Parts: sequence; structure tokens; C-alpha cells
Amino acid sequence: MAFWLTLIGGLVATAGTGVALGAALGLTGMLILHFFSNGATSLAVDAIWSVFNSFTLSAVPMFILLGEVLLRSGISEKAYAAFSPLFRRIPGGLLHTNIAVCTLFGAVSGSSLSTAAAVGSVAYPEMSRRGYDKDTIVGSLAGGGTLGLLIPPSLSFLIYGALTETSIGRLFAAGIVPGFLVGAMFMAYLLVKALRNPAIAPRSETPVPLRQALAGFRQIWPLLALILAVIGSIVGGLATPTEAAGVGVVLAVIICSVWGDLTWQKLAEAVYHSVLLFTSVGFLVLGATILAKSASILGIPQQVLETVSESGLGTYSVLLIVVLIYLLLGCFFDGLSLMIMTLPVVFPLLTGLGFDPVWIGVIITIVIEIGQVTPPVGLNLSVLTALTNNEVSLGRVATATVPYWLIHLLAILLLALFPALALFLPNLLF
Amino acid sequence: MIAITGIIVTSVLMRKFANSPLHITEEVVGLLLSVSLFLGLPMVTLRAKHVRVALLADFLKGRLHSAMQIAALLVGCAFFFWLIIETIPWFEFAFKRSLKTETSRILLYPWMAAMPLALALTALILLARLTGLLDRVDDSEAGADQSFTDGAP
Amino acid sequence: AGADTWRFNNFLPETRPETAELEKFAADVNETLGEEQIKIYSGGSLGLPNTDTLRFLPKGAVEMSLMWANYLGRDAPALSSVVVQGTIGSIEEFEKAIPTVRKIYEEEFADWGVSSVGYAAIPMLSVSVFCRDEPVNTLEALKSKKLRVWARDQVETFTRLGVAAQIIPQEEMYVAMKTGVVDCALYPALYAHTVSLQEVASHASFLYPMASGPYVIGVATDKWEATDAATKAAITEAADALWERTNQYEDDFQRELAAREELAEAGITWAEDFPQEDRDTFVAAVTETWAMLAEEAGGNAPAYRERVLTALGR
Ligand code: NA
Ligand code: NA
Repeated sequence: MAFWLTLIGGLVATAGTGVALGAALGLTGMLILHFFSNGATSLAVDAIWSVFNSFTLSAVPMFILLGEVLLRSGISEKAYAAFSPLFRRIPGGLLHTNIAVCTLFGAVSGSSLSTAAAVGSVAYPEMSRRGYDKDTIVGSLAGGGTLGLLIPPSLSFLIYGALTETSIGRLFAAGIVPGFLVGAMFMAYLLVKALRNPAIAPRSETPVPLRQALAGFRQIWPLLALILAVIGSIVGGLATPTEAAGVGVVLAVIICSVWGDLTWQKLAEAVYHSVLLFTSVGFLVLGATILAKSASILGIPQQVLETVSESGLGTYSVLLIVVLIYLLLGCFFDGLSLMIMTLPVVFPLLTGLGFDPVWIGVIITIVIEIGQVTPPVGLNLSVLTALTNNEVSLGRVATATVPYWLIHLLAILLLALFPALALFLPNLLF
Repeated sequence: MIAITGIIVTSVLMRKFANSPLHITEEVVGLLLSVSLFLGLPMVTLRAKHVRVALLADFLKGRLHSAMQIAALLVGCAFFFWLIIETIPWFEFAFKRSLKTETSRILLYPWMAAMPLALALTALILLARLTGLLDRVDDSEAGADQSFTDGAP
Repeated sequence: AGADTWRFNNFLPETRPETAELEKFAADVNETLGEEQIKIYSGGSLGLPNTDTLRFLPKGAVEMSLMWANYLGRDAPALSSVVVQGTIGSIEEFEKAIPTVRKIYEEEFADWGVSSVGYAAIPMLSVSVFCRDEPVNTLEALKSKKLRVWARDQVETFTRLGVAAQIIPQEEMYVAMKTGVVDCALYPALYAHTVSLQEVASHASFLYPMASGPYVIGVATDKWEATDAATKAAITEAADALWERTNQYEDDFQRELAAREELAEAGITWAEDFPQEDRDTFVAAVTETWAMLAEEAGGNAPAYRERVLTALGR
């Protein structure tokens, strides 16, 4: 109890001043370490050093840089100019491309943060310039980014598989249908939203001749070539998903200097801005890491979940409470560390109730994805706030993203009613 | 950032076409990533580009607003100074023992030095704001004039 | 968990047989004392990286932790070269070396302010080469493949043998094998199913037996000295029983065969073992690597290596 008071009180008092959120999270974490862990605040420094000394994390700045290069060379503008006429008449217009591209990108990247960073760095400036509602853009990007974890390859499935001895191939296969389902529900939501409030997306009733629309496609093939090359480098065994981000940057630079107008100066600007952008996200990760460390070392998440396992409730009540607990914990901890902290309790608990391990993997991936978009610690939200240069505040991004995590909850309900949605494909393939 | 890209791609090409993987890639990329983050930290702070929760602070006007700005700077200073104090024994430990990375045996302390240096610079910027040497802009006021994406055509 | 309960940081996943042995150890202690003295947190769920153990344990950030010397090479280079995996080729040799290894660990950890209060032996593992496309069971054939390994000493050894080896972290191995970033992966058959290796490899062949230095259960020395005699006695007694249970190697080979059988049912074809000549070449290369690593680590490392060699009778 004292722990929760310190956590929430500390966060409100520090973050409320409007200080950089990373400092608020970090200071709260340091206070918890100091008062609850025998003053073991030195752990904070070790934790920071090990979280950034990570090869896997390097994909995030690489994907940000890739987006910056596309943006500054004019390639992404050409692509959006070409896409625009095609989507003009669909309610919601280009907003749907955010979801579609995030889905596609989810098949390249193993992480939700990379997906939001890569797609967002191109889509936000292009679409806000075209007059789309800013909150709606960032909402769709923050929500769409979460598809990166559900659609394989996925870091969360890899870690889940290794910690619980569950087949990784089956987990990957199980993520596909729910991933596309959630993506489709996102698009349906955007459609409904645009029908009810047409102002969020600029529309034109002037029909564009099909031939002209198709001619526009000549503008986008460099971008298509890039996406195919990045996917190809993974599928073809040239690069791991982490390395593919670096390969993508080099390909983007080549493509953009041949077909776009990338100059040395623009490249330098792209690098400079991606360092700044990565740093403002990175500083948040830094604070979140200290906070997560302070709670995980006390075994807090396990203790919360153990009370559930000892409660003797029925199967679905336990599932419901577990999901609610993840929603709560997901506010304070980033997804993957939350999964590592909780699995030793949740996995035996849920398998003991008769749930399929692969199915549980999908559910846990969805709940930790929700954690990526709930404030105050929601890394997808932060990367988008940073991308908009604080034009759209963290609070507004968070509000705009609420419908997307409600859709995730709906997906959990559907998966509970029809487990075959997740299990059909793995059973077919393995 | 360029160095990270370069080394990853070289590593991929070496493995594929020369069948001789680079063993330093992972560790060097990790170190470069840390260093670029720490070097970016003072820059982001100087330009007031941090992600923050501005709900209450932006609501207040006039003197209350300034009071809140000072409170925010104090919280920031407290965090950075506390962290700096913690990095001293941490750095000393690595320096005295000449710790090296596991695989490629790269000496760690020159890289690790980036952390206390960056934290100190950042704390200095916050102090300068607190004492009025630098203007007390906060992130929302830094505004769109220097947007991350402004240089785009 | 009560306020006085000791948190035991266990980096091994919940599903490993070793974790069950540690749970039994904790249960023994708790039963003797009639209260929850030790509570195990498995799978790294306390969020503490195992490479940092010598930083957090002496400070008392957790009360008790599992430690494995070979993970601690960044902070204590001498520890990671006490036993280099692959040099000890048989159970008989291994049993000769173990008391010396335990003694060395105890001395070295004491220097770090950590008391070694118990040990858990690691089974004698058999390491195989798993390949995705075609069977590889000679070092010559391995030279044209890209091989995944997990530790630096293996990189050194395979480089000596002219094989292109690369460290790929366990969580990236599945995708790397699936897509062909590497053609083959080094892994013990006993644990292969835990990372779904059978789904991405179709052939396997045994290369070398691997003995490892035991896991050590550590407690900060000041904490241990301040502990009351009854608790200490209960822990020591349960730790002795843990060592008795785990320091048994005669069933290891049976378990290995059973694991291979299961992998075969899941679709892996077992080729002939690597020929004896290749295996001897391999062990010779590991022995050179061992000397090199001990030299490089400096400090006590060369002396530790001499002590282990003497115990082995080499
Ligand atoms: Na993915
Ligand atoms: Na969250």
C-alpha cells in the first residue's frame, strides 16, 4: 500500500509540474528504490546503461532515420500525392493508409515502438499538411503501431515462447488472424468516425479519372521498392529484423538520391533530427526503466497477481481480473518488461484454468500492446508526441488512442468467445 | 547514427558475401546508441523538446505559471543531480578495473563517460534556466518554429 | 510474502528442471523454519540482468541470487575462464575437477562481498549442431556454413577451426534460422524444444559434451553474517541436499537420448555424430582458447586455470 501511495503520489507531484516526463518517472523510481529497497539507487544507473546498450533497440532510431530520409527527399510527399486521389472518396481517406501501412510494417518489424516511429515520422507531417485532423492522425498511428507486436515477427512472442517453452512457430501463426482482425476493426472505426464527422478528413467529390489515378502510381514505386526490399532482406535471410532497419536506411538513401532530391545537407538534417527525436523518446524510456526497476525488484506485479490466483474465482472471472490488472500495470510499465515480470505467475495460473498456452500468448501480447498506448508510461504515445513536436500533447494523443485500446479489449472478448480465431491457423500449420 | 547504419550494413554484407561475420557489431552498435542518446540529451533539453504532461502547468497563468515552471526545474535538477551522484562510483568501478565488453573486448569507460558528462551538461542547462541565465521556455512555448520536421520541402 | 522473506532472484525460466530443484530447496528451508523464509522469483522476473549480479547482490538489493560464473565476465573476467565449456570431456574428469572449481568460486565471490551458501550442479550436456537445410557432421562441411553460437569462447574456438561463427542472442535465433541469416546453430538437444529449434532445423548432429561450472547461490556477506544461526543452518542443510540431488550425472545421457528421440519425432533427422578425429580437433582448439582467455583476463585467472588443470590431472 505504501508502495502504491509513493508511486502515484510521486508521479502526480513530479509530472504535474510539467517537467520532462522522463525526469518525473525517473525521480519517482529513485524515491521508491531509496525508501523500499535499502537505498539501492545505484541500480538505476546499471539499468539505464543496460537498456540502451541494446542491439535490438537500435531498430527504433534506424526506423526514425529512415522516415526522416524519405520525408526530406520528397519521396514520401510524392507517394502521398499519388495515393490521395485514390482515397479521396472513401470516408476517412488517407487515415486508412496509416493502418494498412502499420500492418505491412508489422510484418517487418518486431516491435510496436519501431512501427509507430517509422510510419509516424512519414505520415504525420504529410497528412497534417493535407488538412487531416491532427488528433485523429496520431490516434490512428499510435493504435496502428500496436500491430507491430501482434503480426509476426514479434519480440513479445519470441520472449513469451522462450520463457514458457511454447512453440514460437505456433505463436507466430496464432498472431496473424487476430492481427488482421484488429487492423480491420481499426479501419472500420475510422470509417464510422469519418462518416459521423466528415471534417476530420478532407474529401473531394470531384471524381478522378481512373487512368490519372493509376498514372499517379508511377510516383510511388520507389517507396514500394523500398518496402519490398526491406521485407525481402528478412525473408531472404540476408538480415535479422533488427538489422533490416539499418539495411532499410541505406536503401532509402540510395533510392532517395536517385529518385528524390536528397542532398548531403538534407541527409545531415535528417540525421540531426532523428537524433533529437530518438533522444526525447529515449529519455522517457530512461525514466520508465528506473521506475520499472524499482517495482520489479520488489516483486510487486507478482504479488498483485498472486492474490488473484489464491482467490478461487471461476475461470472467466480470473481472466477478466487478470486483464484488468494488466490494464492497470500497463499504465506504469512498458510492455516487454511487464511481460517478463508477470509471466512466472500468470502463465501457470491461466494454463491451470485450462487455457491453451498459445492462446494465452496472444492475449498477453494484446494486453501489453494496450500498455504501450496508456499514459503516463505509453511509449507509442510518447514517440508520437515527440514526432508532432509537442503540437499534439501527450494527453491529447492518449485521448485520441482510447478507441483503439477499447478495440483491443473487444478483440480479447472475441478471442475468449472464439478461441479458434487464434488457434485455427497454428493447428492447421503445425 | 551514420556509424550505426554503416556498421550494421557492413556486418550484413560481410556475413553474406565474405562469410566472415563481424563480431563487434552488436556491442559497438549498443555503445554508439547509448552515446548518441546521451549526447542528444543536452540538445533536446536546450531546445526544450521533451515529452511532458502539460495539463496543469498550461492551465495556470501569470505568477502561478512561473511558480510551476520553477517547480518543474527543481524536479528536473533533483533528478539529474541524484543520477550524477550515482554515476560517480559506477564510472569509478569501470575505470579502476578497466572493464571491457564481453565479446569484442572494447574498453568501456570512455563510452561510459558520456553518461555523467551529458547529465552534468543537462543539469547545467536546467540551473541556468532556474537562475534566469537562460530564458524559461517550456516545451509547449518552444513552439512550431523549430519543428522536428520543418526542414522538409 | 512477509516483510522478512528473502527474495531469491532466479534467472532460469520457471519451466527448467533446475528451477524445480531450487523451489524444492526453498520449500525445505521454509519447512524447517516453519515460515516463508525464501521466495523464488524465476525467469528474471525481478528485472535484474544476470550479468549485473556482482553489482546488485553485494549491495543487498535482493537477499539471495542464483549466479553463474560464466555470465560475470565483464565485471570479473577471472570468473568466466575458470571453466571454459567444452574442455572437460567426460563425467569422470568432471567429477575430479568439481571440488576445485567450487573452491575457486567461493574465494572469488568472497572477494566481491558475496558468500556462497549453496551450489546446484548443471547436468553434463551434449552440444549438437542443428542445421536448417542439409546434414552437417564434419568440421570440413561446417566451414562453408554460417554458424550461430552463444558465447565468446565459442567464437574464438570456431574461428581457430576456420568456421564462421557468430553470436546470435537466444531470442533472435528462431528468426535467424528460419530466414537463413545463419545455416546452423549450436545448441544442447536437451533444451532445443524450449526455443522451438525443431521448427526451424531439419538436421542435427552431436559435436561435443559440455561440462559447466555449477550455479552458486549467493548472499551478501554482511547479510549472511548478520543472519541467525538457525536460519543459516536450515539454508546450509537444504543446500547440501540440493547439491546431492543435482550432482548426479549417470542419467544425463539417458535424458539426452530421450530428448533426441522427441526431436526426431518432431521432424529432426539425426545424422552420425561428428567423427572422433573432428571432436579431438575441437577439444584441442577449446583448450587453446581457454589458455588465451585466462591470459587475457589476467589477475588470478591463469592461476585458477592451473589449479583446474592440476585437478584434472593434465
Ligand atoms: Na511484427
Ligand atoms: Na502504458
